[in-house]
Amino acid sequence: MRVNDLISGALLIALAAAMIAYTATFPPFPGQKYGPSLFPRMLGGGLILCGVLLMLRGRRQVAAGAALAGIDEAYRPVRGWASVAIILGVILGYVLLSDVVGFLPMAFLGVLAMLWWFGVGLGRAIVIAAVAVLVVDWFFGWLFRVPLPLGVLPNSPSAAFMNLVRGR
Amino acid sequence: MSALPQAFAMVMDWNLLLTILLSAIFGIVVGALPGLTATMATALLVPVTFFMPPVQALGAIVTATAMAIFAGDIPAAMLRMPGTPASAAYTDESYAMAQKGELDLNLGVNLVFSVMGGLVGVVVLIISAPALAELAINFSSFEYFWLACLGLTCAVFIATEDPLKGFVALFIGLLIGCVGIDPAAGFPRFTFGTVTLLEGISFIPMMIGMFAVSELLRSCTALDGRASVIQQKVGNLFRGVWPVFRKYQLNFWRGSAIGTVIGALPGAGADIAAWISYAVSKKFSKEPEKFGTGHIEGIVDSTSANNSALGGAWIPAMVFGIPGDSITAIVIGVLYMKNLNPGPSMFIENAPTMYAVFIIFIIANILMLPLGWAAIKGARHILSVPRNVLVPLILLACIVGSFAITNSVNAVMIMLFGGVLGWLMEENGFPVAPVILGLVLGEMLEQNFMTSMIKADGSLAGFFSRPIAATLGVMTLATWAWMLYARMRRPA
Repeated sequence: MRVNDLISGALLIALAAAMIAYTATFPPFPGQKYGPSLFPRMLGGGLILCGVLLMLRGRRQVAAGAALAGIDEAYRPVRGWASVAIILGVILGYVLLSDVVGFLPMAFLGVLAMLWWFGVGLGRAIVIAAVAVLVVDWFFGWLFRVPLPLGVLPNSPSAAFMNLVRGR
Repeated sequence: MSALPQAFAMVMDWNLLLTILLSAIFGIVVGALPGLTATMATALLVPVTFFMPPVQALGAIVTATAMAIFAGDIPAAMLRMPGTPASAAYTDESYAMAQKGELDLNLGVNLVFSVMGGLVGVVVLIISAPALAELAINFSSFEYFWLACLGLTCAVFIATEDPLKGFVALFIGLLIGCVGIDPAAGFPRFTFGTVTLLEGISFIPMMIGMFAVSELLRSCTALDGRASVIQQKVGNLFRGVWPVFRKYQLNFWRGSAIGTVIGALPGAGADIAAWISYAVSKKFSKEPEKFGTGHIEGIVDSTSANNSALGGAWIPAMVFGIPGDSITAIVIGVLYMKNLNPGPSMFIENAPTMYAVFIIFIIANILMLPLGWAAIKGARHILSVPRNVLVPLILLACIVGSFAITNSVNAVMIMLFGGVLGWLMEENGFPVAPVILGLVLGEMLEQNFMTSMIKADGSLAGFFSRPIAATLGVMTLATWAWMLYARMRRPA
């Protein structure tokens, strides 16, 4: 999504102003006029200056006939924004559900959904997703001991496999 | 110099050598795939390096990036698509050569001159970094504050098309860096009462989001199968390279020199080095009319330059803790994570580690010769990996990589936030690299600023009380004033 500099400038000024207002709640150093709020306020001042300059530029562009906002051609077809939505959906789904459902099922379903949506045949997609998820589980979960959530599974297949290999 | 034997002992370790080899292969594959950049290779690699000792972690990054920058040349010649932005400057030239039937010569020259250019950058790094460190050891918070300001300004000014939007990105990054416990008084800022934000916005998931996820969001709208690889058999790569070297020796040295210097400038990396040295090559060429028609001369300059820039970028990163490009910005984040605070004292306290990194730099560049050769021979297989399979797999790596940093889904949330922010910013012409620079340098900048304020008892004159600080300060202020003046006079 594209917005004119007039809008992005205004947004930045609003953001910076809100941020500066919030810094009023920070306490100063004892016996000094400044404190933890000084640095963020300076940044806020810089952002406001940039915002004003952007708005000035945007106003000239709008006066010259530029649109205030628009959507890039690539995202205009339903497929375009649906592709974006599916990627964001997979990440969000993982955030919300991986603790309950577990890493393996969530990651498998997520990768499978994306592969299928991007046009990989279902059979191939299942194989690729399964192999990818198992490799990641082995690499991060077993090799680096990252506690990937088990969820509904009793044990991680890589851990089970490696234990089997080592005869335990 | 007892650090040197120690450094060699550190490097001669099977684990480390295996890591270097694997990172090299990873770097080549990522670099050769159009759309996946050397920065993205680093971003995806960092979660893995998180579990490694410092030398191994840095070695992995050094190797992967060097390989990726070279490997970007392969699809440039074969597909007319640069594998990384660093090859964009001479993609058309390379492709024109391939069409003329000179694919072998082109790839051979790219490989050999990448190796040599890379080595030049490393040698300059090895010589200049310890010397500069000796100078910088006397710096106080005043000098560091101004140096960081100047470095960040320079980064925004050179590396972005639109400095105004670059500054916005930088301020946003610095502000994101403010989240969490403040470095001077220990007060929790912008945490909105939550515990998860107390430690601040974790830099690795943010970076993965901004450099990798945003790229996926951008490219996912056009995943039309596989690209058509040029149908030409790759023969003897090294035939004809020596005559090229003899004829264009000057170009090689000039390209490497320009590359190293540009790499060392904060913010400007391999891609800008390649563009500038290509332009310089054309300007001083005896046959400028041949440029663009498949002429090797400009390629010699720019392919040497982009690899030498990598070594150059490490100079300010190691000596001052100010990154020379977006890759070293990530490296600085990694150094902080490993409790190796970048700066001149690193050369005293961790000299063996530094020398080990230098040695790995050299090994990586030499290793590039056989591995690069193999990559070119097998390029058809690498390039035929369909993008619609790659995107989901990269996203999986992003999610798990982010999760692995904090072992919680909060990091994945940060990654998502970074991805959407980066995507929206790039859509609207705001560069993302300054955000990461700001995030990485924010704490150092603020700490030096607050320390200076306290030392000077709140008086700004203190910032100019030492000769080097005053010089740097005046330079910084003059640059800002000049930029503002130029903007007021010539509204773009």
